[in-house]
Amino acid sequence: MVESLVPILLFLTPFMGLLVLPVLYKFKPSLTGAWTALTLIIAACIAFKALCLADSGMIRYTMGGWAAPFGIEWVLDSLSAFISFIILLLSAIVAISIIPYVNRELSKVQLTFHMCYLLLISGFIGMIMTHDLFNMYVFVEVSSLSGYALVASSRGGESKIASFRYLLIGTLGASLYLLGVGFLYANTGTLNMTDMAERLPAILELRSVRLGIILMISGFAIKAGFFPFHGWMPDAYSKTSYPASCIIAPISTKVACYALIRILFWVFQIPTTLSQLPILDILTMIGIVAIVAGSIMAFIQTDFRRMLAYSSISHLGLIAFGIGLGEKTALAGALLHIGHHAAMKMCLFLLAMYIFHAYGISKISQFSRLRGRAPWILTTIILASFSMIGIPPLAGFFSKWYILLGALQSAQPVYGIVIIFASLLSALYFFRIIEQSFFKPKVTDVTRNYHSRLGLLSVSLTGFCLIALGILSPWIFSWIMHNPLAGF
Amino acid sequence: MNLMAFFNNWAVIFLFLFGLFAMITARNLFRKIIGMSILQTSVILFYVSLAAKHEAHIPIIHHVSGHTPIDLTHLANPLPHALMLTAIVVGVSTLGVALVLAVSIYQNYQSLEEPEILNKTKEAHHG
Repeated sequence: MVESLVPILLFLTPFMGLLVLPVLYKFKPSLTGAWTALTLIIAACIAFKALCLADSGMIRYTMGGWAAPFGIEWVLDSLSAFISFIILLLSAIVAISIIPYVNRELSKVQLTFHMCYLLLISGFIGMIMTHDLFNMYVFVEVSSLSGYALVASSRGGESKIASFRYLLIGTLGASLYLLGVGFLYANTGTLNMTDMAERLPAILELRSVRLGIILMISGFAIKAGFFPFHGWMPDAYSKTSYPASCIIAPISTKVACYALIRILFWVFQIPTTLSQLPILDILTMIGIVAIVAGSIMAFIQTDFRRMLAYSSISHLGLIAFGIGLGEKTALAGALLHIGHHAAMKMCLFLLAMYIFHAYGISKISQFSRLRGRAPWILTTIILASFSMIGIPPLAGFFSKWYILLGALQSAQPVYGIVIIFASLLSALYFFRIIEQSFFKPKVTDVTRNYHSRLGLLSVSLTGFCLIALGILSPWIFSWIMHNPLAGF
Repeated sequence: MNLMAFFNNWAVIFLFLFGLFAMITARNLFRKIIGMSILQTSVILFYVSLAAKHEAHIPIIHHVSGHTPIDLTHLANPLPHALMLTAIVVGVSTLGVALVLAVSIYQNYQSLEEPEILNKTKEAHHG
């Protein structure tokens, strides 16, 4: 009986934790961070249980007992279980690691900060679990609104400007999506994903249906920060407070990527039905442009977090490229890269947070202060940058490898060159950091300002997890091929 | 083809593009917010006009006897209206967050004109 409640439990755990927070803050303000972390750890455990359950079959939960095509339905299948496990696990790790830094940077607003954090995660779980297109819109907005608040959390005006821009662009994306849903609803009379997937193939020739599909996809492309719509990302990641960037950067765009995959392959069933509408080719193209342009922009940045933001744009391009190939291996590689890239970005943003508080490093040229001082941090820099570049046996290598395999098996094997080129370009900008921290003359008179053991531990542990993740990759990949993508 | 038959759709297209234009070109942050609000409202108009019907009433059936079939042509579809109630709430919350951010920007820079704000951030970087 409890099993059938798992989809809603995943949402309710962070949401109920959020409702308890104000009461807890009234009596024991020092425990808010710990409570947030605890809630997310419990949610991550439920997500792990969900992952085991989803192997044996889908779990459908209908809201208020209204049957599927009329009521709102939440579905736990192996794809949604996989993505929600990644999101909850990473957010639990981030929640533990940011506790000392929230106290230091944002102690006055820590209640609202943690409430926004839990609301953001609840919104993401809603987006992942829901099987209703309008419900998806509502959760997109729930998570985005708390995301805007998190981006604006830093002191000073710049984070507010970044958040304001993010809000304008994000609202445009959500409105485009809603308009697209309206077109499809007018033509099919349903909002349920399964129901729509059955009714769409018969009416795909209609121009209004195609317009709806294009509007929905461009809406999510904006939310996912795909190439021409990436303008909000660099400011939102680099102007905000450090704890907020650790939360926003690894996971927020990944959920939009998931939503895109869900509607492209589960609702529209693109590869089989829509051969005349070149959506996938366009995704591949913008993916290629994003890989190259993002890497070049990352190379010329001076601010470390801004460089990471452009690197995210380039890697999201890689995910778009993997989706766009429309081939099973490449899609599995893209799903793997969603997880791996989130883990690598989490590691790098935690690192940025630690070194800013400890040594005041925020620019790339300041990395020389690390030389001969912080052995664990230097090890993590090596691990994380090699993983981003794609050197075996680290995590980043395997996802790129599977996307490359998919590209070679697809209709245009030439595209395989793009992946190799992408790795070279990432090497270009990550070697700047390695050069600064290992080959520059040693800087004397550097004092360590604020050291948190928890911060150092989380940075080095996530760095070593990248090796473990790399070694486990072939196994995760075959699981993705056999479970979420079994029907292809 | 009678262009006026699609009057609502023309209005939706006009309002959507007008809102987008205002969001992109306006220099004042409040004008940008107004543009955003117009854009969201145009989507609401689209849904509501989907469900609009001549000489139809709300789908509440007062007395059902087993023999008379229910006449669907005189009942309006309630679902788009219900959806738009939610969308209006979402729009209001977005507007609220946007206004809070605008006020906060004003407190930091004493201005709502975008070029002026950008100049001040540049000065802060160099000075």
